[in-house]
Amino acid sequence: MERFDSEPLPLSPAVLDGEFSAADLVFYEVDHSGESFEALVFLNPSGVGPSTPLKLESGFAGSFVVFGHGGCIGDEGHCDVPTFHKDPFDSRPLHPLTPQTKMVDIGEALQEARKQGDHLTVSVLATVPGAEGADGPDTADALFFSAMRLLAYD
Amino acid sequence: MATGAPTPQRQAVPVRHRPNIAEMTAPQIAEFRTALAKLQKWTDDRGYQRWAGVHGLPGQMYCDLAHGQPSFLPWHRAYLYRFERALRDTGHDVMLPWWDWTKTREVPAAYRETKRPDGKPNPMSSVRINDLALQQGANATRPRTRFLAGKPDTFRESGLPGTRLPTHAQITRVLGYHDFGRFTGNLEDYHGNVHIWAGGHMTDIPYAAYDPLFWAHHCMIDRLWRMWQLDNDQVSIPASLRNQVMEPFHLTAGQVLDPTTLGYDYALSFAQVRP
Repeated sequence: MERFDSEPLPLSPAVLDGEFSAADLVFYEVDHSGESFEALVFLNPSGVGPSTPLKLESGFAGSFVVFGHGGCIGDEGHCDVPTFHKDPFDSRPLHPLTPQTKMVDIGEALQEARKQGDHLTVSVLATVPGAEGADGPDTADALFFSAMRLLAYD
Repeated sequence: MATGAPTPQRQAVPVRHRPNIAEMTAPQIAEFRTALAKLQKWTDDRGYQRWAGVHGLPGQMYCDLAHGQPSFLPWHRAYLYRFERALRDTGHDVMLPWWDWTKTREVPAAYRETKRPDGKPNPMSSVRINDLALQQGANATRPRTRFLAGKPDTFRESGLPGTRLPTHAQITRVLGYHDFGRFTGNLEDYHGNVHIWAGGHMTDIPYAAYDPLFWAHHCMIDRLWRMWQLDNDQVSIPASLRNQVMEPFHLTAGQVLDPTTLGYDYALSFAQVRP
């Protein structure tokens, strides 16, 4: 997908009171098999796009970057990550394209967002540098992950 | 015992220092270019193509063992170490320079100039990628890799709209994290920003290491890890990572924790005379 717009996430009482020292958004099982891209993360956004200023006032919270594998050069199945249970006697490293976990430090942005209500919405926009001949950033059909979790720390 | 360690047994072997490219003198840059040009001429397994290819194509994509994983920093430290040893095997007393992209907000001039003062091609500017790597990339499933495979000489498109270099404030924040996982994960993302900002072959794992700028960028990343280590106990990495082998460098993560045991450290600049 090019962008992800979350369902509202409930904020805990401590978060609503601002009683946290740091906070992360954690993205699980992020695909990195394709091209490189940056995923821009916005909190409680309204109408964000590639040209939205990356400022706290715009809801911008941070980003994560995928330095992509660049596609497969092997035979069919070469880049397929095994989904079967791993044999306990198999000491080889994980498949290189095993999805990654990404963390975005959103502590500062969450301190602002919590003032807007007891729920949080998150938008993630995958962008790539302007393609050849293009004059601006473009969105990329590159964003795939299985779950996103908000963590606040005391 | 690795080389360079100032132990009683090897007092005569000093730790050498990687300099900031922005502080290098013209003669120092000239010698570095001479060494790099020689390395690029070697076509066997000692040469530039072999070491650039370890990261991506042709073949193994070893760096896939390191990206998005706790081994990101130790794997690339081992990689830089082996590349630097190969560079020094040319017979020149040079060390890899680092590019501080928080201060030098453009590709350093030494890497931009297409010619050396004597008119010869600048080996820090661009490199011709070997045919096998290009052939493999031409068959990739992704259009970006196929596009780059059609460009045999590495190029950059730095600073395209929508790309960003990490700022000093962002890096200062990351250096303040005390948990290794949080530190390396965030630093790796900023490292990715630089690859994307540089553009061209640097954006693509299969070809990134062919661009000579790759090494200066990764020395900066390695330097930041070194700085973090000095503030956060040098061995504060997960125990499970310590014995992990950094393939294909024959080094474990534990063996690369202390740069001085690998014979190097970081300095802003250096000047040297001999009697």
